[in-house]
Amino acid sequence: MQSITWLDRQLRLALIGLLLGWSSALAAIGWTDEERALLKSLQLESHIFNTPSASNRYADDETAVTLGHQLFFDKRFSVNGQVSCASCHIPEKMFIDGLPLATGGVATTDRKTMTIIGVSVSPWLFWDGRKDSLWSQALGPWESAAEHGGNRLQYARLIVEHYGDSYRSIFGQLPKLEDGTRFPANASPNSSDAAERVAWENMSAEDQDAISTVFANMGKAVEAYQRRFLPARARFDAYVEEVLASSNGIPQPRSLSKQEEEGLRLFISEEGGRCIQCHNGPLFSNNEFHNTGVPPLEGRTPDRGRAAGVEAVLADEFNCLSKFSDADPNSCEELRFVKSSGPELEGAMRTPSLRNITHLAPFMHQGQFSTLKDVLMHYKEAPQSLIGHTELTPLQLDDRQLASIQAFLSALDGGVDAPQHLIQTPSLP
Amino acid sequence: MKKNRYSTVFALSLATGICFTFSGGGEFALASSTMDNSSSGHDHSSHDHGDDHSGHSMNNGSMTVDVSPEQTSTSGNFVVRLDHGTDTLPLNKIHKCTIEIVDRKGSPIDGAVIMVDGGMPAHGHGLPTTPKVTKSLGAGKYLVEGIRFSMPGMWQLTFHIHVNGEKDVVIFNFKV
Repeated sequence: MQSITWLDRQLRLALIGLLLGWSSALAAIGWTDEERALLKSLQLESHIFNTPSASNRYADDETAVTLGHQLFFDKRFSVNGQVSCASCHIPEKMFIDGLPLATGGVATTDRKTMTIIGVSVSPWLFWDGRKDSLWSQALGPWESAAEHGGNRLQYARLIVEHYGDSYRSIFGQLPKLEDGTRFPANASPNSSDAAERVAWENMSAEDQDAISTVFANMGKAVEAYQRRFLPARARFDAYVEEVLASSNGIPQPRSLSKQEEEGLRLFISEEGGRCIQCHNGPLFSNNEFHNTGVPPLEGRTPDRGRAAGVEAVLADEFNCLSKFSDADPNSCEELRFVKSSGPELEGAMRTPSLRNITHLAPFMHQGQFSTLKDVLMHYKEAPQSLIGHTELTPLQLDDRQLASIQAFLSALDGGVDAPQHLIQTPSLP
Repeated sequence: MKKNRYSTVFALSLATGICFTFSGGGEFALASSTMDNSSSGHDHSSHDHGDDHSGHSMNNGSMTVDVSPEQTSTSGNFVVRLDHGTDTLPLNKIHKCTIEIVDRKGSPIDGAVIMVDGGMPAHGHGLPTTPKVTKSLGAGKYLVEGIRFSMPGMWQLTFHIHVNGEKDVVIFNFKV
């Protein structure tokens, strides 16, 4: 019966005004100096990919890139003539196969295929870091029974037969392999076939070195090729430029949506997702090893990860300190000062890059999580690890906030930055 | 006539709302919006992360942590100066630094045996690498190699110095 009083109306208007002012200001809230420094540290900068590969003097040689391109796609470098690097590192699929475990080789592997995009800056390769250079990494699958299943004697003969001119123009002389008593048909120290291991042991040290040098050079050519694949600039990088260009930390224009911005805030916040603790730097990875309590696939034993990987890299015949490395031993700092013991290494895996992450499903070392939503839920709940000790603690985030972080991750998709012809299958000799 | 008052009140409230937000009131609503180093970090004491860092009783607030490159050792025997060779500490890049050790009288100390450890006290974890003193450079200076800071935040390097039967510890803090 009575209309609202004048005071009532004043108060209602005041309340609406306050709320409107507050929310519009919130929408325009910028970044502090501290946060801007963090954003800058995440920005993609092309110069980081120009660092020479200390142990590979051929890493930036154009002819090596061409040879490496061919070796990457050449299926003859396998026990059955059916497997090349591209069988699992499929160019159209961001150089992975989209499967939990790799099946493109001779048998099924124990871990998920990793992408090669942007890996040239990582000091360690594989989930457990058991190789310390891209060139020595390539040598693993070539002789692995579940993957290519071949051996270095077989490969050296293929190089002599099909790639002689190209090899010689880059690396120099090839050994003469006609003497069957000195150079067996198939031999390797890593073979699963005992006869091939014995055949290797019966070779002279000089002949073993000659073959291993050819093998190492194959890896060095493939590294030269793989170094050309970089993650491309993404919307996030444009956004950081906009923030840094603004005087008050409020970007105009804005390359991220409001939800993505909120996701980014949570990504870098210690009280939020704290993702930046490990997913930091221009590649959104510190390339370090962390136990995040991801359970193994059904029926499998928990993976020791770095605890086993560090022993392997220290003993690797092709590591930075080996005779096949081109590095000055004093510069092999990562290997010389590696953390080689401690409970933190048990079950610890290398942090993958988050660039292009929405194209790299499934996730984790055995593809245990099919979706990013599953990944984020795992981080929120932080279950106990079945091996070692998880570094995670539960996140105080609700579903909406987790969805914001997931939205932000799509702003890291820029695709690949590489010459088009290198992504295609080359003609092979 | 009353319409003028309505719009005045409305405008004043709008302005108040905006000012309130920019003065920091917005932090109430954005629960985890700003990265505030002066707030306390997580309690990781329930987790065993290997290296234990005795003496990290300070919080991780950059405003209260002493990040000076010159520190006196715990028992006062030595003064140590640390030189990173750069003002910006690199993130995720293995690097070296030099330390210079002098005694209370300012005389350089050579022949010390030095062990290095450290970590991030607020996160409760140790160093990702195993840094070592690799060279005695003379005049109390030593080369320390193999340092890597693997995430942004507050780091600590602890030097355990053994010389002439004496043992002491000096701690440096860094903001990465």
